[in-house]
Amino acid sequence: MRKTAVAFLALVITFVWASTSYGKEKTYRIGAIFAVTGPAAWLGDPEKKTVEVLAKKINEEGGINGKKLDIVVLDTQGDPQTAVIKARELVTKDRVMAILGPSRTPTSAAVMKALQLDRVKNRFQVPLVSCAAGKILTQPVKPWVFTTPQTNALAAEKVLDYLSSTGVKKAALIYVSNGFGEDGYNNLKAFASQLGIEIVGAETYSGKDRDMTAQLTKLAAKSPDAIINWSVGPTSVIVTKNFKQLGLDKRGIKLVMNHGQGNLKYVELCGEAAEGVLLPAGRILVAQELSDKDLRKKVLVEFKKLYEDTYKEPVSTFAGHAYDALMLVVEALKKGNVSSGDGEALRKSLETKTSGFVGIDGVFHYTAQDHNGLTKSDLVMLKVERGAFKLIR
Amino acid sequence: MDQFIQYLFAGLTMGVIYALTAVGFNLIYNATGVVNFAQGELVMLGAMFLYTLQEVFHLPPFISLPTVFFLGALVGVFFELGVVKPLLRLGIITVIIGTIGASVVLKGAAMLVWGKDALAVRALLSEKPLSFLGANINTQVLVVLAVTSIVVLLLWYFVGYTMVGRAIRACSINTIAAQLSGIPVELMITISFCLSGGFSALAGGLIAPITLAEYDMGTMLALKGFCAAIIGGLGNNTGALVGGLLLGVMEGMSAGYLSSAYKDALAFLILILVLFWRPEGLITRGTGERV
Repeated sequence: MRKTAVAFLALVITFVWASTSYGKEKTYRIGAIFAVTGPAAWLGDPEKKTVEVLAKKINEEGGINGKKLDIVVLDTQGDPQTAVIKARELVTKDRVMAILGPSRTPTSAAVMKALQLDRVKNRFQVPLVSCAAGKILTQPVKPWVFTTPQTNALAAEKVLDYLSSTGVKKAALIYVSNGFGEDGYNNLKAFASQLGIEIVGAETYSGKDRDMTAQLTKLAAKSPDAIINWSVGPTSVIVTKNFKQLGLDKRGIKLVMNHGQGNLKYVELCGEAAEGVLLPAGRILVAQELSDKDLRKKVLVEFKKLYEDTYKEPVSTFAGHAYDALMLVVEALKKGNVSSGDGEALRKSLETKTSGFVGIDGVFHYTAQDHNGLTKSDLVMLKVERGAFKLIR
Repeated sequence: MDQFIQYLFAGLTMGVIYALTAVGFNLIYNATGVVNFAQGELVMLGAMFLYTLQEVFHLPPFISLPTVFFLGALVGVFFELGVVKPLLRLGIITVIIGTIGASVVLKGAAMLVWGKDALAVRALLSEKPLSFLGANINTQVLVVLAVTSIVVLLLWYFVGYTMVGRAIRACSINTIAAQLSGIPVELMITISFCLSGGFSALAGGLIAPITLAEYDMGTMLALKGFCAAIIGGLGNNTGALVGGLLLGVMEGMSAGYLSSAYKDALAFLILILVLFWRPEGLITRGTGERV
């Protein structure tokens, strides 16, 4: 009995001491949860690396407002349940003032629901700056949730804008039958009617399909000027290979991909079949090609160099999402002169003081009505030429 | 017309893949009565082996393909000795659960060795497609068709007309009677797994240039391959070929003429219809064998 009482007392003292000491600390404590392992590790791994290298650099340069940045990175394994557990750990045990990530839409949505970040008043008052692009996170605006990647809607608008400027009148769509593909399809259909492009056909495939020649043959029979594919992963490679196999490029049809193919891995897997493929992407893939007048170039080139020198691997779009998440928070802390642990002030500052921040994914304009803050001008159109991405000017 | 040919070949491409996996299911089913849930993973390993031999060690196809078969056969033997044999005396259901466990282990191991990304494998003949009656055909599909025909003929001869093949069949018809006539039943089971492993790995290697090699490709293959085996009649190799090709061609045609959204639904509809009308499969065998 006495033992239990002593243990209990010790526990209480630790908690009281811990909670009081956090408030006085001369640091900004920020949490990050990414899919560092598991099936989405290709997202989480570069994100974790980015946050760590940036935090180190910021602290070496003297921190923010004279305070050091203290980053706690935890692993969600790409699983919504684990993500919620880790997020709770961050807000209760580590008492962070903001959370970066998670990497994917399902995990982000789960954390948002669990911490009630979709309500103005909630227990934790912690802004979440997610590296996922799902519509559910920002439409309608959730008071505590911000996102950094370009959305399906932006990419769809960019693609159709470009196609209509090159005189395309008829387009056909092919997409994977899941949330991502269907969101892309709905956006493409909506913008196409605005821009006067006729959608002559739409076909689907499942994420596990490995031959799309039937769907492509059917679409080609309707003689479109372009075929737009909306999917991520191996299916996009199969579509590209099948498109070339059927010789559709020789029939004057353009193949357009989405922003999910913005990595060299896609080009490598497709081999020669990728030649001439068009896709929208962030500027990080063609940082060196940008004109020196582009105010984004300096940020992009500097980050690319920092990342590639530290980790000896090519920088990816996903690293950029994490860069923006962290640096937006840093910007908000600086501009708003936010005191340590004040989540509400940080949220306000993100909404009102970070407009015009130049990041990797684009120039952000967060407002109370827009928690993604990007526009279609933050995307560029690229063409695959001789196994590399070329900027279309 | 040229559209029809294109749909037909799209269907044949996938059909041959399903058929090959179905034959792998059958070999093991005939020997032990077990449905091997790790069959898809054996196919996946074949794809990975071919990737390693061809893209890392740059071996020509006439060396790499037999090596893939050999490595697959080796995996099959280890699979039998490590998973099936210790569990077999506990009953068929235990073995089936064991194969589910093995499939998870193999998938995880492949993820660690070859990574999570899909891997590209070059076509064995040429990357240039072939024009045929107005349709464009991937040359790899022809390689798959040719090699499959040869291997299935060899298998048919082996099972039907050699002493070992007959002994294997005897085991599948009546294990106790086979044992009483002096057939080493355990050895026959090992040989069946050896063949099934080799066959599946060869299938994986052949299709890798079409489908890419990926650590989790086995699940889809096992599902559709099992469908094909059921449609043709589980345990019947001719049935597996017919079932696989039928399934693939129906998928291709429905994607072309109906809607790609209902492609998979149609495949499973065929399965249900077959199970209703001919639960023993489209190609029935004589009585007295395992049904």
